Amino acid sequence: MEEIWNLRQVHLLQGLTPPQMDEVLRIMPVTSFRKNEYIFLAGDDADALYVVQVGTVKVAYVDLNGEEKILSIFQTGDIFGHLFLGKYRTRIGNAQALSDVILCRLVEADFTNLVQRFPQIALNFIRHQADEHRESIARMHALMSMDAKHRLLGTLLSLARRYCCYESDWFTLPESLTQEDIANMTGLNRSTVSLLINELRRQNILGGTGRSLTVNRKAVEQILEDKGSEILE
Amino acid sequence: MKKLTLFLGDSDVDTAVKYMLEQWSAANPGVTLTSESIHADPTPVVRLGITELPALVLDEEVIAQGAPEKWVLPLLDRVFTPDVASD
Repeated sequence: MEEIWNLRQVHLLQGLTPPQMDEVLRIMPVTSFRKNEYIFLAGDDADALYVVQVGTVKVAYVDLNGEEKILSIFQTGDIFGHLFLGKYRTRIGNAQALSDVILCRLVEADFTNLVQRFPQIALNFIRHQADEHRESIARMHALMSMDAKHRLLGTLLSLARRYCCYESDWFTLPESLTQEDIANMTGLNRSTVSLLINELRRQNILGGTGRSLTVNRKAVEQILEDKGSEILE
Repeated sequence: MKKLTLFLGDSDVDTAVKYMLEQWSAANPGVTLTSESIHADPTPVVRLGITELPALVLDEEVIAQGAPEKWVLPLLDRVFTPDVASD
């Protein structure tokens, strides 16, 4: 039976025809990782980028005090590990599976060939980079200028927009993302994040119980807009 | 005979779903259930377009994935019971 590859959510491949997508995916080896396994480590030589098919991946580094700082979270359809395509050729963070993960791996030489054969991939890649850059600016702005509550809300809204299942006005965050992870992303400690989440749940801005965390998108957007700190839209 | 394949990882939820489906299939002889660990061979997951686990595939078509509490028992009852009864 003819294999029909199907990676519709991969931003990198948007706009390609099914035969083109089939061709691209045949040269991307598929690998799996168990929860907590490392995909690469900071300092490793880098020669491949990854596309997430299933699961959640965290890229983080450990500072001189031994504290983990999360650089980004990636889910289905996301591309990561591509920063080596510039002039810096080593990994800047550890990539770790937060759940069972399936990835497609694309080495530099194959990426170069694909871009030459299918210019749409280059365009998709530039768009992906532009979005990532804009979100990085928004996160930097939030970390520099906002108080703890608004920093947390800005981070949750950013995560919700990128990764979550949309159900009415509420987003559900992946349960593989812990409060510790959220604290690391916001530059807050875990107890502060826990207190704020409980307070925001009481105000019906956040929802869910235990590890399930939902975000009232409109409410959060309004709060950030009132604070003058919503810069992504 | 319908061929049902469950793709799963190592999580407790996936293990629970596997147990439930095995119990269900034991009582439904018109269906053959196979469980496939994504770590044994992840390639079919990409080929089938699965993006969440656990995922249930019926004759090469993904019929449900992710959030199993929402679909396991209702889906099995709705999709298979009439056919199995007529087998």
